Amino acid sequence: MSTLKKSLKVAGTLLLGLVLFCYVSAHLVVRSETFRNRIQSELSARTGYEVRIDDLWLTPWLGLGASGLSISREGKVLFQGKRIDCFLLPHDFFRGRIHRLSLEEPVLRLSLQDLFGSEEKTSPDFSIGTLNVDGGEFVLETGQGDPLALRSISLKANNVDLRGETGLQLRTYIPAVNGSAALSILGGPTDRRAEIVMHQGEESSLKRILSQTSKEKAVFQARFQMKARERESYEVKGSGTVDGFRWGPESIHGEFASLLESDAKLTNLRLALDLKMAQLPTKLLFTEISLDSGPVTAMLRGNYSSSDKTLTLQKINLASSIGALDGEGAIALEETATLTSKLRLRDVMLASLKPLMPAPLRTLTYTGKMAADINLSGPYKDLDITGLAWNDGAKIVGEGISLSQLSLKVPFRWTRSSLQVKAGGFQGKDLVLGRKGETQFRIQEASLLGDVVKESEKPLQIAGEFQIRKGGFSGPDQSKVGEGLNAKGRLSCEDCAGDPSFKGEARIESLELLWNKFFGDFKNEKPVIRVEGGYRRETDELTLKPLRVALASAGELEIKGSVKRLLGRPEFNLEVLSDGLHHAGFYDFFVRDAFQTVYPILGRVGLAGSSQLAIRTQGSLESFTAEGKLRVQQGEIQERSGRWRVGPIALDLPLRLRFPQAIKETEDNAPVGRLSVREIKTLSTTVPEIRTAFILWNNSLRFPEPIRVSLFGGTCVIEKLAWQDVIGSPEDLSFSLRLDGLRLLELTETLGWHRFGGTLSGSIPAVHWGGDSLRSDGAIALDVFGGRVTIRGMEIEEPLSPVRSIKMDARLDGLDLEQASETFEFGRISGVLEGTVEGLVIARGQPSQFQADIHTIEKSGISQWISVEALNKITVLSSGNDAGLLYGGLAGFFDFFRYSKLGFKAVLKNDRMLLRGIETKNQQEYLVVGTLLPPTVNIISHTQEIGFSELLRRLERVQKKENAKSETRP
Amino acid sequence: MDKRVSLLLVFFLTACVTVNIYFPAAAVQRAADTIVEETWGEGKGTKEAPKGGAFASERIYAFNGFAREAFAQEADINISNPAIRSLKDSIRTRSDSIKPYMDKGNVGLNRDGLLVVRSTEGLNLKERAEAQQLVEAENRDREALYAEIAKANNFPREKMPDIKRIFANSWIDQARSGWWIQDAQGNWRKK
Repeated sequence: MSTLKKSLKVAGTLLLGLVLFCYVSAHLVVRSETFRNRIQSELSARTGYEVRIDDLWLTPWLGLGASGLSISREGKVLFQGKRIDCFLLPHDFFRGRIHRLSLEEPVLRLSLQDLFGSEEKTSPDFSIGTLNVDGGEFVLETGQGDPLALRSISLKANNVDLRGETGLQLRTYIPAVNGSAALSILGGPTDRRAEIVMHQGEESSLKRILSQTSKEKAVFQARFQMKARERESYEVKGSGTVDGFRWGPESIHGEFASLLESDAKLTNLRLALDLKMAQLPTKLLFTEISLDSGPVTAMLRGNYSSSDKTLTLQKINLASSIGALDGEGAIALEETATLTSKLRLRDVMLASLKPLMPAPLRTLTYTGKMAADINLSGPYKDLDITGLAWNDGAKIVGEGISLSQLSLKVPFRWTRSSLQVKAGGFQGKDLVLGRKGETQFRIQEASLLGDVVKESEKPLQIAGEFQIRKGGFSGPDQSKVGEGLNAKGRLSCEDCAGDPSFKGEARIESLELLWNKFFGDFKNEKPVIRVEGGYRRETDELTLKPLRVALASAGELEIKGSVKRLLGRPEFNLEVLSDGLHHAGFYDFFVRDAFQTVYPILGRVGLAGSSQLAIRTQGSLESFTAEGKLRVQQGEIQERSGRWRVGPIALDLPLRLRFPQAIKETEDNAPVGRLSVREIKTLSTTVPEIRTAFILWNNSLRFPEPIRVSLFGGTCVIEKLAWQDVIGSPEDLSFSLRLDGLRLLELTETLGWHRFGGTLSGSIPAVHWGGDSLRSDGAIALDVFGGRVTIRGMEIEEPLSPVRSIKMDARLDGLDLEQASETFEFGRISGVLEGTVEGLVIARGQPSQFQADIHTIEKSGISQWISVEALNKITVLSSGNDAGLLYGGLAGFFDFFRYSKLGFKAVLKNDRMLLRGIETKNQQEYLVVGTLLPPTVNIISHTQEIGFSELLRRLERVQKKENAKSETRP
Repeated sequence: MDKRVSLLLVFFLTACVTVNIYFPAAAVQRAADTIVEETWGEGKGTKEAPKGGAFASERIYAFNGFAREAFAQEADINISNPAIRSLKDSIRTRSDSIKPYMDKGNVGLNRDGLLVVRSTEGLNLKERAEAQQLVEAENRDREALYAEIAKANNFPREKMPDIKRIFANSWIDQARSGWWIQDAQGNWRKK
């Protein structure tokens, strides 16, 4: 027994030693360089990849451990593993099976080219009983940009064997979608099923995802069935649903069905994919396009050839409520994927494109469709896109805008992040801009043909030609209206989306303009507007360099400078320039033609000459300054029939005006302007040249030097002529007047009065126009008929009114009646006259009211007599009756009668004249009182009240009588 | 004693006299009718201005408590002096230009007796400007005419609205049938 025990002990010891020996030997073998090299070579030969293992060891349970495993091809590492434990059962050597394989932090790197490569792959001829992956990572190189990486992959698989039944479960966290994906593969090599389920949760912590909670939701589920078919071909059928899969900001819902057919070596693949989605994803291709597409159906049919590495899409079809897309194309999966495709976009609802439009255009309502033919070619990330987009008859309506017919034709090209539109056409009909009740602009037809260029890193450029037909505008109260606007021109703009600089020209062929009471027909004026400038958004500043407005008859005006805070409270600093404003054209167009219907006098006056203007204006609309110079050359004002003419006029005027009011400043250095009028000519007289200096500064217009006018053989001197504030109170005018020796003969002839001699002299030290009346101090004396008429207290009431009236008081001293009566052809009366006319008011050239007391005075050496003719005329004037019969009989023997007094007192008011005689006896009014000695005469007026119209009739009779008599005179 | 007091009281009451200066509305109405006929009537310019006294403001004595109001026959007011003639000429001359616009209904007569461009239908822009100019000039002349009449007749300033109202009646009464008139409520109607 003890021997047996001993034998057993020895055998056991030997066995243990043998096992130990074998284990040690195996350990040494495994740890040997030779074995490691052999393993590397064997694996390389079997897989076709370069396999490298840093260290190999034997685990206690005869497992094989490895570290620093890497698999590469052509120097490119495809797989790396930190630690690999491989447990092989002895019989597994013969079955080509690994009993258990554990991978710690393995990294698998593949490229699209690897996946779709043409190399023949060697199918692994071993199986794995149990596969565990912990902390794995899968990196897919797409060839462009960052690779697609799946990290923290956890995998547990049983019977991983492509040759037979397998069961594989893979779960990974996908950071890009904040979710995890689980893949399970079941089945054998001829009928394999795969299911992919993707979950998304609220939180992104890895721990939560790995230990899936009930808060996570399955957002993607897909099932694939791979079947081996005849002639060693395979088909993979798939279908799945997407339910609230979150991709960035959007949530995707839909379903798909796919069919993939392939030969055994994956050299030719046929692909069919049908998609249904609740909404088109925002991110299409390489750019984000946010469209409200509604339900989308899509269909792709294509095949893949591994020999030319090209995926050909025979049919691309996509339909949604936006519109329809169909086309075809090909994707060459070279190192850089390239795309060639022709797409036809049809029936695209304009309204659905709102999200692509700038914010202001999104508020409008669009009716109509558009279409486009699009060609895509080139590398996926650098596509060359060309095509033509068009539409016809679209309608646009919005608050303050409507367009009934919009037609677009836009050839475009998008390449290297640059957009080019060449000869893009826009045509619109019945465009209305502006809200009802506000100023509205209407254009019946508008067209634009232009280019748009937006190159990468460069500003947007737009250039084009425009045309407007039958345009116009109307203000809310219809007082400002433009009609019949036909215009064309061109406009170019650089950096239109940033700080644009622009240049343009508009030629207005016709325009009828109503601006309150002004009407202008610009058809013959052919206005041309040229503008060059820029706008800075940050400072809201408009720069004009310059803006030119030209009218055919009036000339051209140029404005240059800048306007800050254009859209707020504008502040401008502008220069207004003109080399030649033609007075005639300006006056005829803006004044005469516009207002002569109501003011016919405007049609009888004409202007000539031209002006140069250089004014700088600074400030805001509420308060600004205008400073510069106005120059007039060859100016002329004339009555068109040639009755009078003033000119040539030359003016050189430096000026400074402030709106709305002047500021206090010393005007010592105010520059002096010059005015000269070479001649004032009427049919009967000519006034020689008038020269004067004057100052228009800080709203004050002053003439520092006397203005001397040689007039009717005498001199008229106007002194201290000044307007204190031509802007604030333009009627506040003052001056003084001196008249020296004006010959009345010429004056009366010019005025068309009875000619009479004498001189007019006087001095009015102050004339002041303030408000409603022009008032004067001082007196003017008319030395006439051997005596003097002194006029005082002259006033003009409402000088600018159609009912202006002149008021004055006059005093008559020592007038020789004989001269006067001869001059006025009133018969012959001798004597000396004096008297007063108080409160004389002359309106519209007629005396309106006065109180007169005029009578003769006795003067030694001067007899007082009156002719029969004069007696007759006095009788007619005072009574209305012809006195011829009265002076028959004895009186008819005399031609002259003596008198002692002659005169009258009269009051005129409201066309009624109360006439009283120089003397009242027995309630009888004596106009002429006879002498004691014959021949003498008394004239008694029995009619005290005479209507003005009756008085005019009597005067007419007196004049007729005179004319008749004149004809009978020898 | 009481009887004496009562008699004294009656005496004082009847002895209180108030002097009122009345506006001669009837005379102004006659003047307005004449001027409107002269300037806008069919036989315009042929009618003579009425002849009458220079002053028509009458002093009427009314005795308190007894309603003894006595009205004297109002004399015609003055509507003839150079300023008034000038304004009448201006209005008369212009009327031929305005009437076509009134016939077409573009210009109407408002309740103040002034013209208003009430519609621009059927008018081109030139005609619209002309109508506007004519209406403004006409209204300016009418206002000036009323002021001149007031001045010529020494009517106080506060009587201007009465003059305008009276003239408005005349303009409206003598308007052709078919012209647009504004009633007191501000509504437009065709005469």
